[in-house]
Amino acid sequence: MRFTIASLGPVVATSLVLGACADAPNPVEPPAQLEAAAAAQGRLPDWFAQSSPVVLALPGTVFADHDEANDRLLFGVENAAAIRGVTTALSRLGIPSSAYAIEITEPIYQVATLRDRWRPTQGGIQIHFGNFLCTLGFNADDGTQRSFITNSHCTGKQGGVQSTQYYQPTSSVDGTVIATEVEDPQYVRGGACPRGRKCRQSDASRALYSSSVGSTRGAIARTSGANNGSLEVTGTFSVTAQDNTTRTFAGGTTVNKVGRTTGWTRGNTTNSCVNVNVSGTNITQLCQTLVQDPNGAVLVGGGDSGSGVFRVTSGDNVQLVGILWGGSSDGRLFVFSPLNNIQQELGTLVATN
Amino acid sequence: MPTSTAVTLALLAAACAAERPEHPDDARAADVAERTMTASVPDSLLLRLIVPGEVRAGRRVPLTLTIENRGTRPLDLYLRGRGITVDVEVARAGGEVVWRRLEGEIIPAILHLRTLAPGERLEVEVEWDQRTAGGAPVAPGAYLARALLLVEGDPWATEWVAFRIGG
Repeated sequence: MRFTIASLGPVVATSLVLGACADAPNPVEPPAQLEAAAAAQGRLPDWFAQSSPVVLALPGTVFADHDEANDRLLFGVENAAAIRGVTTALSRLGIPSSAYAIEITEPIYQVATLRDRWRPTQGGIQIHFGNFLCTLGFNADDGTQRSFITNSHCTGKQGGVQSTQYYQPTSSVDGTVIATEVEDPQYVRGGACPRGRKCRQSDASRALYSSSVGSTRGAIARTSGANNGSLEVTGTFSVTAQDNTTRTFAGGTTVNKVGRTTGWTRGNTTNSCVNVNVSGTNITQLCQTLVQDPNGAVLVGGGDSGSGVFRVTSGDNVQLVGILWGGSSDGRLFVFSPLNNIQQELGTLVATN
Repeated sequence: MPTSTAVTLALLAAACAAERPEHPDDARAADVAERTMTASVPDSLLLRLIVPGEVRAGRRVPLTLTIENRGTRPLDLYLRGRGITVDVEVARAGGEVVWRRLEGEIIPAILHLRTLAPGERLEVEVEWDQRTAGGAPVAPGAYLARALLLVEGDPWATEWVAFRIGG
């Protein structure tokens, strides 16, 4: 057998150098340490197979790697306190300390975003229909029907039921129809509606879940913070209450939403129970509430339609107050339909957990 | 007679530089551009605003946005709204914005996926009635306009285009 420093890597190379310094009676014959190192190198795959499940079962361990580039095993741990457990386990397996290294590293978290696949579903995540993307506002039961609420304009046609089929996050990622539109009242003329326009009090529709698709009522995905642009889901808001009565919110009321485009955003109500014309249409939404951030943060973007709007009551507990449907072109203002209006048009909904 | 040739700001600037190099109006379009956050347009996408070179005072100004895929591959556009939503800004040559098409408008926050085939071109036509956001008629003179295509994230903007409102 022939050995070279370059091909043996650092572990074996170190042994070779040390061996050469200690004694080199016959340079043609490989020293004993070199043979041992070579033998160790050959056993690394087996040692890795044996040690990986044992080590990763220990608390505080992050990863196990057969580090071929350096001819060693490499283990990552969260902190120094975890090292002893690893060395003990490896010793029991008969793996010499010269065959591995342990390093302290950051723990690795699984990252899922509002645009990923979620089962069971929850509020705040992306939904897809036709050529459009929206946000699943909130899960709710209508009688015994397990449903979710999103915007009326997040259906095949705004107003009227077209049995729109929804996918999550997209049909290309998962071709399962998660739900089908079952309720979306027509927009009507007359009454308080301006001449030449069609009106409703809410931009809301209801979709009935497919029996095979799980959903969590009372859960809205939470990202790492409000108005920070993050889409990574780090927890869940728990809908513990719903405001079924308020149509006119006091100015300055802080409300939040979670949507697939701008994530968790928060602002204060500036105008309430205002009639709003929808740009580019003959639709007017009656008695809506406007929200802005006092510091001018962007609160809404294309794809956030349908986001549930809520007040934080304590910790992650929230009270549902409505559903977002639109905003200004610069995204610094959003508009939502109060839950009261939604239920006047869709009937009683139970959205709490 | 008004010409229907689109004149980009760059062309205008070059012409102005040749004819009157130190005119105070020439360099101010950049000041206008900085006021609205915009995002980079994909390399293969050509966004262009077409405006007549001159329009008589009081007449509506036709503004046409063209969106063209100049690449060899299909291009997925993520557009805000159920259709194509276009904002337009009109500014005096000195930089003051006098009109924004979507100012005060509420736009549905839905995202529309539209794939543009290689060579495919979309056109959106809008008008400006030569009035400020407050409703007052603007004075004759030199103006700049640009279109902003609302997409996921910050909008994509065209170059500023110069035109004149005649007396």
